[in-house]
Amino acid sequence: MAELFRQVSVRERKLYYSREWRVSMVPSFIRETLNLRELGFDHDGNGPSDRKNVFYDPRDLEDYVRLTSPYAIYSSIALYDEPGEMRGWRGAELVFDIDAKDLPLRRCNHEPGRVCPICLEDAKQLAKDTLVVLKEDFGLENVHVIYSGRGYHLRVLDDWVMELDSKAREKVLAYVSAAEDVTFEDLEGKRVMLSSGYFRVFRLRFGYFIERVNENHLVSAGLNKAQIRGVLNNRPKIVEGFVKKGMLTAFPKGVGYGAMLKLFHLSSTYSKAYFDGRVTVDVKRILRLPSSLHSKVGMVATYVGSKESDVERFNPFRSAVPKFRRREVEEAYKEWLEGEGGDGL
Amino acid sequence: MILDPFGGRAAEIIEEFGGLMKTLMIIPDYVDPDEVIKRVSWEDKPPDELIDMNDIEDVLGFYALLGALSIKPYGFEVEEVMKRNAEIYLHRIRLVGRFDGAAGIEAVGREDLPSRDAFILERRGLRGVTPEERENLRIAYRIHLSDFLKFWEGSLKDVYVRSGYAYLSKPQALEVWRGYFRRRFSEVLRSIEGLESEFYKGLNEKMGELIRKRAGSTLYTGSVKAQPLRFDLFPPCVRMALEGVPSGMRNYAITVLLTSFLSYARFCPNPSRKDVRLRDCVQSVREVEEEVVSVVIDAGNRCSPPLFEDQPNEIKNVWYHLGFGFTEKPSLDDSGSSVWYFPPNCDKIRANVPQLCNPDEFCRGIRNPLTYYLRRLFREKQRQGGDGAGTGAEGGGDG
Repeated sequence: MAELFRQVSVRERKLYYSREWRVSMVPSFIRETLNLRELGFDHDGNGPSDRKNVFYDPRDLEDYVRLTSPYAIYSSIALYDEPGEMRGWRGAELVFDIDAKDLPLRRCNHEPGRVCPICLEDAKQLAKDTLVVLKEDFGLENVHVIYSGRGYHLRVLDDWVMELDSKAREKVLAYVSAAEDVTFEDLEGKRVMLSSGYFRVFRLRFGYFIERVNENHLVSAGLNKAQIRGVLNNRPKIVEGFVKKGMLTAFPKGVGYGAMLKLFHLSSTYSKAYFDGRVTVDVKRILRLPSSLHSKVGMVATYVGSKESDVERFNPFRSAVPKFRRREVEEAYKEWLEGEGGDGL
Repeated sequence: MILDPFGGRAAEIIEEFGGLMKTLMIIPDYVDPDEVIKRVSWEDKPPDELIDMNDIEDVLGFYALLGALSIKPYGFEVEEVMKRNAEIYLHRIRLVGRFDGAAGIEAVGREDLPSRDAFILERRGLRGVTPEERENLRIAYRIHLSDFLKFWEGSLKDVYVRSGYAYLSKPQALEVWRGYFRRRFSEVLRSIEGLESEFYKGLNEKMGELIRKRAGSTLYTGSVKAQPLRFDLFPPCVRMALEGVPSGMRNYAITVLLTSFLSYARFCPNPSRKDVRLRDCVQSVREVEEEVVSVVIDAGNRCSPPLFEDQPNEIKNVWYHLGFGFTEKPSLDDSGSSVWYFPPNCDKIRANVPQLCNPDEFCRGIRNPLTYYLRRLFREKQRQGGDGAGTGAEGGGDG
């Protein structure tokens, strides 16, 4: 049976890097600052032990990669005066890492730690929502979305963001992931209805939550049977009225402030986990190089774009498959659609 | 009237004197130390003579204090000088009702916000809000997020964010300005080096004497002694870890957080030095096994799936985090083979396992779970009138 994701062999890595990959496939925002970045290589699947490499000319990187066909390639999100020594920190991209394998509120039934097209679709939805928040709320213009192989990276390079320290990045993360609880005062003072700011982000994440939450989740949140039925039967109304317009009246009868606060708390508990926070607050991290092969899953880390529509259109099973796996993935995707997953997309 | 000692008119004056270091050199010829001390010695509210003063006198007096602080650029004196001088400028800002661009704060009008949002933020629909309260709720300023994130201690939830700006009410703008002042004060203080003059040494002594005298008995440094654990006073993250957590959170919650927290809370709540070892605090490994490791294992077994069944080697990692090296059966002599991990700070916990962080009312202002526990322990003992009062439990923790 064909597989959507599988580890690739050394021979296949060589095939990819000699026949398909060219350094010009590395996005220009990295290529143009290549001499300021640390590059790391994982040659055997045991982690990036070959660190602190510097390439002053992209052609040198091309030669090195062709020669070694590494298991994985990483580049620093930070720019340094001396990248080989990681000295003279000039700034670092702000990164949000959405890993489809770790997402809570899964719509699929496979065991945890694995990824399927539905998980990837959910990760894409989160990436798109995050892109909207970064552009509209933070006014950011230099944002790039990358398909990482098992999820999405959002990389921000606006000048003022590059300078942020870890503490500031943590605050941005708490905002973007709607990690802070909505309180009774926020409800009473109607702040939760604001058309911009934290509460709009919160509602956006709540929309994602309410579309995926099930009865068991709501039982554990402490809602009674009537409230659970009310919420589950009124999802479209809640999304349309509360998520989009901020109207508290969108909640069904019987779901008062108390029940809403329970729902909001549960939503925040989940939304905190949509991102790998360690990646966002670390200003010296290395990140998978777009265009390189994710050898564990046999997909290519692919530049998606910087617009919402780019993310919307992106299909990893069309755009992120190395040539040597195209037929296999096509077949596996077809099997998957016919079998377990067709309804979820 | 100068509103910002680090920008605008103040910067011009310093430039006219030839830059910061040259200004500091000429200050002893122009400034009377007794006059400068008045900037710190006031009580309740700054006197009029400090509010309405000549620009040059103001700038030289302020930088004279910075020069004096540079002799010993740390400690309680720095905080006190910073706080009192910030109040002088804040008083002026309140008086004139504008910031003059300080900290990047700019004025905005009502039309800059969607009317419905302005209505909500100013609580216009609510009765019982006094005109003064309403004025304090009115969005009157904005600041670009690049500056705001540097100067605001709180969260982004507290303010209205739109198109790259944080929109602020007057009290919020004043709070941002405080953050700006604090940051610039520290930066300028750090940049002053090598002032050896007797003037600054004398001013430093005078200032220190005044501040210490005023602080008097309110300064206390003590410690909480090792004592049996009070599980009911543990912070929410530790309580959650104790109840067992799902896969993905287990290693951090159990091995990193719980192990370090329980061991320090039980045996060494106030470490006297950085490289403290458990063998310095216990008589035998059995104590550690019975009072810490057994609790950690219980919590690990409550995880889903049970941590130590799933990863039997993880028990060695627990001992590793206790400082005994990567072993299953340590002896007391092994203590010191690895670092005894201090409980991670709250920001680290939030970054690693955000689901663990569900703050309660006692978490306000806390940066480390151990501080939370010690503070609650201290308050509990104060409440009971026991020997906790005056033990300075507030001092431990943040590492």
